Order: sequence, then structure tokens, then C-alpha cells
Amino acid sequence: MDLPQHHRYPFSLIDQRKDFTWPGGKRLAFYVCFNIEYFAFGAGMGSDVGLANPQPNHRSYAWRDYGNRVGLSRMLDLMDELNLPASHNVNSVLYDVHPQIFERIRKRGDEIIGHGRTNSERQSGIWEEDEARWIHEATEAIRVNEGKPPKGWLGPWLYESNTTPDLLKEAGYTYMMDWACDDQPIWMQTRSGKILNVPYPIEVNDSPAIVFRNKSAEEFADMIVDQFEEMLLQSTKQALVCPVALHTFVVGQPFRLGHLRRALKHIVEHPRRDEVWFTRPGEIADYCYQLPPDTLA
Amino acid sequence: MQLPYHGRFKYSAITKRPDYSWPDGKRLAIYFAINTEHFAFGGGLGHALSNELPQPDARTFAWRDYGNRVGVWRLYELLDELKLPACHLVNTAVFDYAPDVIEPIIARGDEVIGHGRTNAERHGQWWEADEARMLAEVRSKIEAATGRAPRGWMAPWMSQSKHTPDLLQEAGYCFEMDWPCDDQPIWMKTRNGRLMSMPYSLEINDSPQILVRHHTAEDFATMIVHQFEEMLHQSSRQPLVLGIALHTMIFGQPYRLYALRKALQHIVNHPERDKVWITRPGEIYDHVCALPEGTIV
Repeated sequence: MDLPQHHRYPFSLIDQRKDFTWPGGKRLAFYVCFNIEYFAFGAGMGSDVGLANPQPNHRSYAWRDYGNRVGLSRMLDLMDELNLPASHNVNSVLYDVHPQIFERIRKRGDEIIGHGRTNSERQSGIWEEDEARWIHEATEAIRVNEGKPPKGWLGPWLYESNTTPDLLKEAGYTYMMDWACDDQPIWMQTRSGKILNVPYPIEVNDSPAIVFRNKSAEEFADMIVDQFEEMLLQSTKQALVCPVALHTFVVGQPFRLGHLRRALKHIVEHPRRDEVWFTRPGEIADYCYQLPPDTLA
Repeated sequence: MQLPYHGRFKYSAITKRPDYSWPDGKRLAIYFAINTEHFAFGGGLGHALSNELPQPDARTFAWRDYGNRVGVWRLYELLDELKLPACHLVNTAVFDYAPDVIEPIIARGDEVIGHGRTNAERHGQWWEADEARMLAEVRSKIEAATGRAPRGWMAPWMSQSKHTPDLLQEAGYCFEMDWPCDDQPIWMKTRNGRLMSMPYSLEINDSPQILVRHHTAEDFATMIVHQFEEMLHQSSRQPLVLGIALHTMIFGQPYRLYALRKALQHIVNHPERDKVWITRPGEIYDHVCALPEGTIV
């Protein structure tokens, strides 16, 4: 029976693929990705902590705004303290409203990843032409402000229309992270050629885990540690990617940050840390583009 | 008690305003507004005759499409037969999809009113910047195709954001037809000047009456006749505007057209026809603008 399919990638079992290693013969690529988002006041989408008030839902707005005012700086302090590289999914409206945010990120040499215009919207229910324009606007803001366009994309709310991969490829993106279907980067088909999908977590991600599934900070920290330990074991069999996704208004809260510190310290001080490539999604993608063409699924 | 108010105009009783007349001392201005719309197949908003099927709802799409393929041509024939001018509220998607539909509008010397890109969408909840871009895009598309930028606007679904009148004025529109609050043109305040509100009926409008309220074509034809007779009577006291709104997929159906013809013949052959100015909204706008300042509230 033929069920509807996406036709973006063929099925492939992880243990029936060509082996490869990350740079320096490492087997596990580890990256931390921040989500830095901007929301409309009194309108549009946005996460709530607890019950949502009617609009103007200032309570949830302010809670999210804390992420940009305080949480982000605390999280960057932690990355500095642990000497960890980071990548940042950035709503492009931030370049207009809070350009100061980018100074520290630039100094760190971190990667900026396209993340739409704002998480107050989702690229659903709009025409292809409009979606192309939204992607173009988000991309242009980064190009103009950073001097180069982003290589990677993660859709607001991890949403994709049936044409998003085509539009991303046509907008010049080399990789996207919307399909949480694998522990290795894979090639996806678009109408304009191939685009790489770099693993990005829907589980080891503080928004679904903590905001929607009500996991505690301690549980979330344990998830990071357990995911890392298990993937470190598994990575003897295949080269894998272990990503951690964070939101400034979630783990930027002090009571959560301490648990995140504990989990990340566990990883950076791990006795087998030499087997780990501490990196960013863009570097993973660049490396994948250098591999012999038929290496990845 | 002060309730929230739009602030676009002040209350004004129709009996307490300066008197004026239409050209040649006429008292009742009538215009016909043909809504010519194009819809997405398998998605988006649209008119429906009956219950909508799950998408792709070919039945409903095709029923709407009948309006562009057949209905609009029957309406053109009826207008020609009765020598009636009209204005056309045309989605710009029609210019691409069915350019044939535009030619008779130009040949008849009729007026094109901006009516959005498509009635498959509604812009009242968009961000201001996206709405502004759409309004400008519609205006330049009509100007490029007809040689004349539209002066009037009537929104898909009469949708409005809090900013629509401001954005219309800024885009160069002179009047809008989305506020069915009066039988005379009135001025609306915008942040950069004024915009005229042209009477456009939500009642003498086949879409709400026939599709939503399930009236028959005869019922609707009777409404037209009664509205006309009563307003002709009332217009001895004030100059009034009677707009008659029709949709191609509704009154383009033969059995409805038959009833409409009788109603229009009633108007055209009326013994007091000399008191009636059968015109278009743009001409009403021009006449009103030439009146002494302060005549219009």
C-alpha cells in the first residue's frame, strides 16, 4: 500500500551506511544551539509558562522577554566559563529591535542560524511566494548585519511547508535542521538540488521538554548527560551528532541554569572528551560537504 | 462610560448634516459592485454554497471558478443590455489567472477597485509591514495592467487591521468601502491625512444574503427593489448612496440572473429615474471632493 510520502530522502538504516569520522578521527560531534527569539506584544504566537492569559498576555510576553534581557547573557557567561562554542537560531526582527544582542555573539565567533522573522508566526497557511519572501527577509537581515548570509536554517516552531526545503535551497542555504529523523546529517532532495539536514533535537530541547512536557531542570540536565553518555557509546559504531537545544527564556532562569551547568560540565570534563568534537552545526555541514559524495545517507 | 472606539470618525446623525445634491440635482446615487475573485485550489478561504468538503474540495473550487468562466460574462451582458456602469472589485490573482475577465472592464470604461490579492486570504491579522506591502503590491499590479492605479479599496472579506485605513491612505488610495455604517460618504481620520469611507452594503450583498442567510434570488431581487424605493423616498431629505454588491459565482448562475434582471429593470425603467444617478464609486468620490469643505462629515 502506498501511503503519502514526502520524497525528500530515501529510507536508510543507521547501521547499513558507510562509515566516516569527524575531524581528527573523532566520533561524536557535540553542539549547543541557543534559540534567541522575539515576540509581538498582545498578538501572535508564543510559549506560555503555565496558563495563558487573554491578550495582551503581558505575563507570558514578559517571561519571554526575560530571555533576551537576562537569560541570554547568563547562558553566554556559562558558555564562556566552559569554553564551549555555540550556535544561535536567531529571529531576524532582533536585528532591528535589539541589535546589542549580537555584539557578544560576534566576539565569540559563534554561528548565526536563520530562524525566521519572529516566533510570533509560523510559516503555515501562507502562499509559497510569501514564504519565499519571509525567508528572504530573515536571510537578508543576517547578511546585512553579519556581512555574510547564514548557512543554516531552523524554522520557527520547527515548522515546514511542503515547499520549505526547496525555498531554503533556492535562498542559498546549505543546510537545515528541521527534520529530527536521524543522528547523522543526511541529504535531502529539493527541486533545485540537494540540501543537508543536520540533526537538531526535538527531545533534548528545553522548550518541548520543560515548557510543554513539564520536565524539571534536573530531569532536563539528566537527559543531556544520558543522551551524551549513550551516544558516546554508540559512536564507536557510527559517527554521530549530539545536539542540545536551549531557549533563553527557559534555561536562562537561574534555577535551571545551575542544572545545565552541571550537565555541560559533565560533558566538557568527561574522561573521553578527546573523542568528542565540540563544534557548531555550520562546521558539521561544511565538513559533510567535503566528504566523498556518497558517504552520507 | 467610555467604551473602546476606533477614533476614525465621530458620530453624526444623518438628519443633522449639511445638504447637497449629486450632479444635476439628483438625490440618489446608485452603483453596482461586481466582486471578481480567484481562490486557491485545495487550501485557503473561500465562499461556499453548501458544506465544504475536506480539501482538496474540488466541488467548491469549481463552483467558485464558474464565476470567472461563465458568471462574470453573464453579468457583463446584463450590464451592457441595461447600459449600466459598474465598478469591479477584482482580486489581483484574477489578472494572472483570467486576464480575459479584465478586458471588458477596461473597454466599458468601468472602475477597478482594489480587492486584495485573493479572497483565499484575509489580511486583518497580519503584521503591519506585511499588510502595507500587500496594499502597495495590489495597487501597482492594477496600475500596470489597466494603466490606472485604483483609487478605491474594498478588502477581501472586508477584513481590517487596526492600521488598514492608515496604510490605505499612505499607499495612495482615496477611499475604502469596508465600513457599512452610513448611507453617505464620510471622512475617516488616518495618521497622515483623511480617507473617504464610501457606503458599501453588507445587506444588499448577495454573499451574506444568499450564502450565509440562505435567501433566494427572488428574495434578494426584492431587497434591491425595496431598498431602492425606500432610499429614493428618503433621498428627498438627504443625498444618498445605494451600492449593490454582487459576486460572479452567485448571481452569475442563470436562475439568479433572471431575478436580478427584473430588479435592475425596475430601477432602470422607474418613472422617477431622473432623480437617480447611476454611477461608480470613483465618480461619487470626485463629486464629493468638489463640494465645499465641511459639507461631508
